Amino acid sequence: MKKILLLSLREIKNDKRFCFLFILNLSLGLSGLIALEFFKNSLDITLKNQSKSVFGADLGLSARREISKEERDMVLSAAGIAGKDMEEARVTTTFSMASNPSGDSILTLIKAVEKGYPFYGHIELRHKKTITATENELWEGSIAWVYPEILLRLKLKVGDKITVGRAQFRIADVIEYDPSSRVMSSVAPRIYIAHKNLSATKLLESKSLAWYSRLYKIPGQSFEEIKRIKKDVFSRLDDPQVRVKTHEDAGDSLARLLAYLNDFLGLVSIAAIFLSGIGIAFLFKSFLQRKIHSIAILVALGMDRKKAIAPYFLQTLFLAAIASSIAIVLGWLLLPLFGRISLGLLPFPIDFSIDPLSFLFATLLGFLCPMAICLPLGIRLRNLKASILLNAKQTLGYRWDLPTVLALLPGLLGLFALAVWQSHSPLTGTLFTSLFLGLGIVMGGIAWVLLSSLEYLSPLWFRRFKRREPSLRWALRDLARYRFSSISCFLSLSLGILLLGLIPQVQFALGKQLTRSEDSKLPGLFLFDIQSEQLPPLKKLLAQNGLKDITISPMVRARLVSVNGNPFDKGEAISEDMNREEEREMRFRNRGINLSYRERLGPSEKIIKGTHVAHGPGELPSISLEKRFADRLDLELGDVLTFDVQGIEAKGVVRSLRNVKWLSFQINFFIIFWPGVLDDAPQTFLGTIPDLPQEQKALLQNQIASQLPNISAVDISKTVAKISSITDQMSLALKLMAAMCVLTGMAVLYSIASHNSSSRRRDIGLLKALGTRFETIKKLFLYQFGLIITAAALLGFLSSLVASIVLSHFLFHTWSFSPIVPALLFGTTVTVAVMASSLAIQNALKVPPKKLLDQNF
Amino acid sequence: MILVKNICKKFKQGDAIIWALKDVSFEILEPTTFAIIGRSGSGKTTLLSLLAGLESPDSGDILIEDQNITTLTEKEMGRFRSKNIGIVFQQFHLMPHLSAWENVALPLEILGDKDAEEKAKQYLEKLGLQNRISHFPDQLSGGECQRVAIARASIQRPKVLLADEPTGNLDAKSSKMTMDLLFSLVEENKMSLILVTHDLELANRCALQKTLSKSLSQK
Repeated sequence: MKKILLLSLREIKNDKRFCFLFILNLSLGLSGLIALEFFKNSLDITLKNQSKSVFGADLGLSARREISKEERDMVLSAAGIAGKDMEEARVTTTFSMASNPSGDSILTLIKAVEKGYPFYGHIELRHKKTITATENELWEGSIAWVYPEILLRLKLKVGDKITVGRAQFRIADVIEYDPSSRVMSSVAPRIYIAHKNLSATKLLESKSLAWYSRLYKIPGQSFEEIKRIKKDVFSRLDDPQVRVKTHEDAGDSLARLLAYLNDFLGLVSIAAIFLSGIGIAFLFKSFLQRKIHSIAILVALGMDRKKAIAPYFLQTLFLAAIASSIAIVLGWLLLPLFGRISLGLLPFPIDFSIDPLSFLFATLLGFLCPMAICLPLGIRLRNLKASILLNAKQTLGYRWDLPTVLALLPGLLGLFALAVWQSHSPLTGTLFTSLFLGLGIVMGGIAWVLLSSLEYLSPLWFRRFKRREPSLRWALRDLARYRFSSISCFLSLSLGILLLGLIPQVQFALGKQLTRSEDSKLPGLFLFDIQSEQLPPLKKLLAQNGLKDITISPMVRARLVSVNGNPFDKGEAISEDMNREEEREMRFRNRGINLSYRERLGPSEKIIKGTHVAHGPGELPSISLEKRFADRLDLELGDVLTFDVQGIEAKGVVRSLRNVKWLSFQINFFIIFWPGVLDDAPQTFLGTIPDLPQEQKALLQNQIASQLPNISAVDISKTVAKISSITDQMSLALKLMAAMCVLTGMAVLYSIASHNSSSRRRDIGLLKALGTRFETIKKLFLYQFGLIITAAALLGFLSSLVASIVLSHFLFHTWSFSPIVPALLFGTTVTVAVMASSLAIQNALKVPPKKLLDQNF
Repeated sequence: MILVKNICKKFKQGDAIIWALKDVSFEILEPTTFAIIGRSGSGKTTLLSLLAGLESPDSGDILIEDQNITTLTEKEMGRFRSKNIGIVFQQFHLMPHLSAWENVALPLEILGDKDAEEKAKQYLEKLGLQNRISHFPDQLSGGECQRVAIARASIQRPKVLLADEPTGNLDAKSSKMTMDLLFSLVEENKMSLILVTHDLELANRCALQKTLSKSLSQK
């Protein structure tokens, strides 16, 4: 063992260039994923620690209607003996305009709470400081606590009066820290009032949009017991609209804010690992080729083949250990940059720490990655016979037998598992892996055909281009003759460029999707909670303001009861074991649905299947479904859907599927009926008003707040501003990860180009000995690598476009093309690769031709 | 004409200085065959690499066809070599990815000959390798490889042909066949052949023989 150890250390010492490039490739490739893993882990730990104070209770029921007595009893009964000490607090949340005595108003989120809230955690007030359950004095008198921006925007101070609906409150204090606040808090800042005072506001007209919750403190129960109670209550609940949550779910819903970004960052980080894998595979292949002679000598001398190979295996492990240590340090250094993603998204700072599990994961990944990549190459050594020493051509050759194919499996499965694990979606993971492998096979096939035809056509072009300068002829001939090497270099480069090109393309598509609203006409105000009797006065008010071009849509709350006569069950409670697809489906199944009806579709909608038409006599009414909604619930054209609209059955048949641009901020619904069926159902209305100058918009908001207080008017520009600031932060994270990926890609390009050149040192020496001009040799290699690099860059970018179309359509349902991004990357990668090759050729040209006289050259 | 005057070559190995060649001089005025023999480490290969201009001596001059090659830059030496010197290696050093005729055509292509392909094929036919013209080095026997290497070294009719242990990797039969070819080509083309060998039988076929032990002693 000591001998093997010494041999491997000597190999490291003697092949510093290989070791350096191996470590560079692997550590760069791993560091992105490791940093992301550290970040996610820190986020998880922080959210777990904070989730009780975010939720303020052990368990909660919530719905868009009052929680019934029966439903509350279910909690009591599920809690069993623990129910005796259980405490309950009512929390009702609704949007409303709040105004100052001068009539200026802003949209706020009213949170009416009962004594006891919050059971856990605390709210920090400016004057009263920390408020906990026992100290909560909110319910004594008509007082309100408000967010600081309300004071700022309504020019109020503590002690002033604020009007909410039909009631007036005295501002008793200002909320400095609210653990339950969310991203949208700055769009609709909060006002806390006592629950008993909510009725005085008259905000909760029968059909108003509000969320009703009952929070429970169940003392002395473990979290496992709380989860059991949740499961029990969930199974007893008939109405899927009623949600049952634990504090962990509240933490999860915060984590969800970052989950989709993390999924994408995860895929980008896998791209970096793929890239470094390509580099490592290429380096390891060249390394093995160089070592075959030495291994064969050891075997010929009688050494056991396994023992002869062991030093190289150990050397790979050493290098992997060094690379993962560097990647861990790099990941740790990158962590604060990742922390910027969470700024403004979470109400509390992330506690950055590296737990032993994350550390173990990073180390394992560092070891397993190169092992999985090197295994299919290393397994070829089992065919090594000492007799190759007697052959002129000392190579192992390719043999696609069962062990070789099996050796590919750990790498492929690992790749697939990583993609699924990082994207939390078998679909996305499968798509990513199959796109990568599929395009790789296609590109390899194209390269094979091109190079074979080059060989076939060689006599023709060799005669045709009898120019004085032979470098181009030689380059084309060498490409065809060193076919395996050319293809592996081409494939490594093109797959690397595919990944490099894919990330900015998808990022561009995502950015375009998020900013599309800027191009199209955004509405100025979004009105919701309009009651039918308020329609005439609202229209009159708008007309007085010179506004006629307004869109009003009815909204009916309903529940999907059956599909084609089969009961539509509510599914399971969302759990952390579910992947993204299951989670989305359960979310749709578990909640009530908003229906609407109209004949004409809006500009942000497009029918992609069927037609939205009136139903004939005796036929069921037509339903149009949003495509993704239909996909997730497995609904198709012709399906008969039955809804429960507050106790009344409404039936329809799916006659069309539509695409909806949600970010147009127009009023859109998943399900639209043809008019006639829902017209008399209990409903509220939503409206949009075209964009107005800021002053006119503020004036209109004030008029609506004073004349129709329960109607909420959201200023879309503020929402868009908030979303774009979040997008900027997300974009920063994406750029950071993409930069890591590009850096890895460049290191891979350099490694490949430089190794390819140095592997041809013997040819260079011979050409020099034959008296070939330096310029001719230089040109020969530049043409050769230039052709490979250009072809790889072209095909790689074409493939990245194909992949970005597929991925963008799948992930974002849109695709945008920026010619600048691929052009820039094309230029950069070709330049870097050509520069790397030139540098490498320059080094190889220094080889003295007298080396040819050495026996071992 | 080849004139070698007082050439010295030393190498550094750690702190020690090893003299590979010390004051070596000789001259060849007419095209002839010249064998350099000597023990391993006597500096035979070093002398050959100096004659080929693959490296420079520390002192002394080497004149080939009135050109002092020790004064040439690496680029100039390359051009000079392509016209005037052919080298036959013990390891053959054929390009593995090129067929026999492509290997032989290389020197002509380097010189910009437009008919390199035809000439290379005809030359191989003349040398009795007509059935091996399109074969690759790994499809040829050792003897055939060395005959192709000789063809490559001589196709541009150089003034000097340098051979480093040309039979070192061949069996007796192949060895004889290859050397017959080499000597006939030299004679036919009026070239000078300088060969380095351990093989006394081969050395005896040369008109001149010299034993090298750091410096030359003529036999």
